Amino acid sequence: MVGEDFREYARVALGRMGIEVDEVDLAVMTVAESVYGPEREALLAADFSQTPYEHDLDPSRAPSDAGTAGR
Amino acid sequence: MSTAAEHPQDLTLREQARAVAAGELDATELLDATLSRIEERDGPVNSIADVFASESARMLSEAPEGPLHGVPIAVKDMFTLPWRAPRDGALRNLQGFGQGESAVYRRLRDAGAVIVAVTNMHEFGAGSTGHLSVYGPCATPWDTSRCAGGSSGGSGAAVAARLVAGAVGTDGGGSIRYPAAYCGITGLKFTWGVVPPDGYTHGHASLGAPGPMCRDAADARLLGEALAGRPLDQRRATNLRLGIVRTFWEDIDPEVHEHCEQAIERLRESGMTVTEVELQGTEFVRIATVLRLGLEGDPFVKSEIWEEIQGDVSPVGRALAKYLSLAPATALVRTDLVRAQLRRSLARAFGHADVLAWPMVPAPAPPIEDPRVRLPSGEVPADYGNVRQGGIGNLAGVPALSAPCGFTREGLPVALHLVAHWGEDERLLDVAELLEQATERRYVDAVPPLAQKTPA
Repeated sequence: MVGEDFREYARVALGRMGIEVDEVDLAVMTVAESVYGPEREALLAADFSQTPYEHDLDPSRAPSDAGTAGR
Repeated sequence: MSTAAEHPQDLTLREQARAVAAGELDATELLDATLSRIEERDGPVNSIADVFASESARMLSEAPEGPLHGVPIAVKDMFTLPWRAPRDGALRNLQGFGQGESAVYRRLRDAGAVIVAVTNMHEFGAGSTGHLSVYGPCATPWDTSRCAGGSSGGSGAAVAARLVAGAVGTDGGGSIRYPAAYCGITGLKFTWGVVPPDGYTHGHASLGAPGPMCRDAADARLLGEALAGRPLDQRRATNLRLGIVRTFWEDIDPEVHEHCEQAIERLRESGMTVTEVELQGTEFVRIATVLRLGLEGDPFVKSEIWEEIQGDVSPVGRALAKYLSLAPATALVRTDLVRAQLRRSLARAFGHADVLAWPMVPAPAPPIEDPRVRLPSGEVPADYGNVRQGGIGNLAGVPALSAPCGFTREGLPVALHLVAHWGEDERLLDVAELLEQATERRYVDAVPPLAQKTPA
């Protein structure tokens, strides 16, 4: 979503959340969307069907299901 | 060692600690000299948000014997102190933290250290440049028209300007390592969870970790041991395997690329085995980091505080907070899959390499007035370029370090990013020290122009 479409979407979506936006907000958000929007859309479109969740995620240690024998 | 001819803040952290312990340097004089140097020198870099001479003096008077006895340390504006609530680079922190004893405070106190200052930081920790802050922009001492980095920019700049020899930063998406790179110092993000999270404004998040920021790896080891509450034993690094992840060498400023390649070559010549490794999921590091970093904090933000202070938040910060509210929940959930993929891929890679390496930031410090960087693919916001390089450490939880490895023709620091297996934080320090030796300490001992001009 780019340009005026995005501005309108942002205005309406944030309005429904009770968040007011002004022209500065919209200008900054439009730049952010142009930078990060394509990668977010690619993330949403990516095929993760072969990637199981890590149900016992603990960032302090290696994943329990990665085959880290020997360490 | 003679200390009479030099300002004590020109000594390394370990030299200060040794001199105080040996009775060669009076800790009260060291504290006074540090406060004076901050007063004299900090103006152009704006690295210090607050000093509190009487509280520091009280901390010194009560300091136990310890590895950092009497040594001044600065901490980022994200930790509760008994006399000061953290502000997160804003008018107030959004989570409602007041004064208190954070884990970082306790560990520094128990090591005998003296907290001498709170450092400037990027507003709410939400940027890699440090140019947005309620305290004003923070500059790298190497060129005060350029960014110190973020979000721990004040900690990086204060160490580089030799206001203090050690500072504590935090790293939720690269926030220790980017300013370390921009300021030419050594910054270590610990494995997630090494330092307890209490009293840390972003301690609830699954990405952030406090860590040491110092001039070199030996100092980072000393301060890191105090923060970690355990020894970070030194071992030989020459027999370690260095893994090159080519994905993160793409779209890099040519000068940065060249210096980092040379650093790899120096490490190879020093005995390390260099091998190429591949990681899966790297294409989503940037967006996954941005989404998680931006949204993990939201449930803990007190709306009444936001209402009260938003008029004093930068227009960019305010707009980005609103922008993140638009992120679909499915995208956030998918970042869990990115993390799972990256973590498993990293674990497999560490079967072939002990430490991974690539450029820490894709380009040197950008101008404060326009914090964008020029890459081979075009000009992009510095945040956009940086987070791709550093975010993996936070998504995966692994330890990561920024090590100085060169200067551009304009005199701006260049840094190599080193990443190790969970819990092997000290291996990064070992490799950083090997790099220092292999480059004859040219980059860690270099003094920025600003620190050369001011008389001691």
